[in-house]
Amino acid sequence: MEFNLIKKITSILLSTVFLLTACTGGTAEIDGAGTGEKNNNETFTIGISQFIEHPALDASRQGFIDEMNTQGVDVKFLVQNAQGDITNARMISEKFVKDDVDLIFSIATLSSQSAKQAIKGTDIPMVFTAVTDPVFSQLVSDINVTDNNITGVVDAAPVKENLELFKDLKKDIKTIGIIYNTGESNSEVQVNKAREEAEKIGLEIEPVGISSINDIPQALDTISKKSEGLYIITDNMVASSMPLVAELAKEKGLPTVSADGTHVDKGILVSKGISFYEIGRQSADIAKQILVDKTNISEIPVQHSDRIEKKVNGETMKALGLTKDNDAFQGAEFVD
Amino acid sequence: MNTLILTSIEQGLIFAVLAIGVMITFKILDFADMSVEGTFPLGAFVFARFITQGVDPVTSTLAAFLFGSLAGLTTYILNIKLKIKALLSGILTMTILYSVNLRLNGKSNVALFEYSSIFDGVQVVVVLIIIAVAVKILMDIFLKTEIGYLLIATGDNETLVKSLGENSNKYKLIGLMLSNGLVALSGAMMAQYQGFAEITMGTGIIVVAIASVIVGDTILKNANLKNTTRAITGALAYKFIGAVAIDLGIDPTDLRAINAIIVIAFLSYNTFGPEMSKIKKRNRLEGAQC
Repeated sequence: MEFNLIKKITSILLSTVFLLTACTGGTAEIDGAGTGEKNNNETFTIGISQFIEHPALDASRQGFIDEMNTQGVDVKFLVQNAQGDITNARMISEKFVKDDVDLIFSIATLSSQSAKQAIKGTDIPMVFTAVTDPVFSQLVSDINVTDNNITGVVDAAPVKENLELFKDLKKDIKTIGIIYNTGESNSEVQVNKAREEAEKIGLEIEPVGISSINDIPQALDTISKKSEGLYIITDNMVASSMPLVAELAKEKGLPTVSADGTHVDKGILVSKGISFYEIGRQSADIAKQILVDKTNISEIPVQHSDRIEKKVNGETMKALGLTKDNDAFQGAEFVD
Repeated sequence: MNTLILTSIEQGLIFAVLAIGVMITFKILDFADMSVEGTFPLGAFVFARFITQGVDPVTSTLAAFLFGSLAGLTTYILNIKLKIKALLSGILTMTILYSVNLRLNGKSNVALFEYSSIFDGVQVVVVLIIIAVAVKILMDIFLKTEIGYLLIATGDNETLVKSLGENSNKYKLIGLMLSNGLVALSGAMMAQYQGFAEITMGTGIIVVAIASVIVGDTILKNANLKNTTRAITGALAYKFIGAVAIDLGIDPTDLRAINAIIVIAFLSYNTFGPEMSKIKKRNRLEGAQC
């Protein structure tokens, strides 16, 4: 009788799994409700491959879906998340290939590199976003040339302009610190870019690397000793601990500049740069051109974000003893 | 289901080499070698270093194996010579390798799309089958040699080996170097397969490896299968289950949990399934005797 019970439990477990998958199978597929005029009667299937759960990446995904709906394109979205696992990212892309999707939208570098391998030998076009340097990651061979069915929107920030903001925030500033995850290639790219641009305007960059979130307090300590400001790059690890970074920087009296508006909501002083939601929307526009307008993808080179937004955190501003009429805050949206 | 099944077989074969390597330390030597998490990407980055310097893919892959075995040597030195506990030795090696991996190419992500690989011009799955089978056969032969037997003995009963007048440490060294060499080899294969070497490749790889070994142990428990065969089947089964989970199109946030649940269901059925029929048979026979 005992074993009958175990057999019962096992079969219940198995059937629960299959029930679950049957029920939730629908949630990963989103049917686009086209508002406004429909362009034509074609329904497209788009596979969305996101690398990891993360506010910025989630925003890009949402921006993409929203824009497709706004433009009235009839789309069935297959949304998959690799949960940070590279082998999953590959399997997700292969699944999209097997499902013969009309386009793959990949969010973040590792999902994009994995998708690139999967679409080899097929004619499925790929649009990426949330990638900082597609040439460095070899997604495209040249930033102005699209020759392998891959294009997209980069999340590169206006580095030089952001560094210049520091000069208005602190008189005679000489050294700016950057905290970054040594394990993220996009971050290395940004640190190097920052160094280049800083040199042009007579500033020095003092980067401090971390390999885990636990290293952050120490890193901020080091930065406060060697630098007079903190430049926040788009780094997944730093982004996920933004409230902590912002708080520590505020305590140490370091003015902080970022390229991502969502960071200002979490306490960073001022941001001038891209919105991940917007680059998602821009990517959707590219996808629409390829699918609906039947534009050849080779005519669409990689794009930079076409909208720069500026934001200031009022509380942090007061804590650092700065006022609204500071030059650095011209034309910015103030949040608390 | 075609490309998805193929992908799971391909990734399964790459992890099969990894599983054979981990089997040597975790299962045979009973040594919890955590350095695997650093050795897997080490193989990838060593390959990347060599291939970007113009060396051919085969030699670059073999170089990965070589450097992997050096990582095993490091863990050995920490454990045996510096008398640091096994678990910690592995962790220390893994930590050192993080920096080594970054230094090898000066970057955390090395794209390899523009370079040649061992898969050029041939079917990927064919090359992988050849490598996995070759590794298995060589390992089976090795385990039947005197050194191989003493290696197994060291894991089972170190005192016995010492009483035979043998230096058990020598076999630990051989085991660690062989194991990490295979793990690095697997990493180099993965780098060529996915098209890039990435510093986070090794995260969670121990879980994959151990799960593969355990799933392999549980499949056809009563059949007389070699350890190496079990490692290979385990890796293939584990990856296949993952592919099924993705293909079912479940809610992305549930992916990991569903993966684990399917493995649990699969293992439970395997554990209790065969015993069930045995019990039934016995009951039937006893009934007949009454």
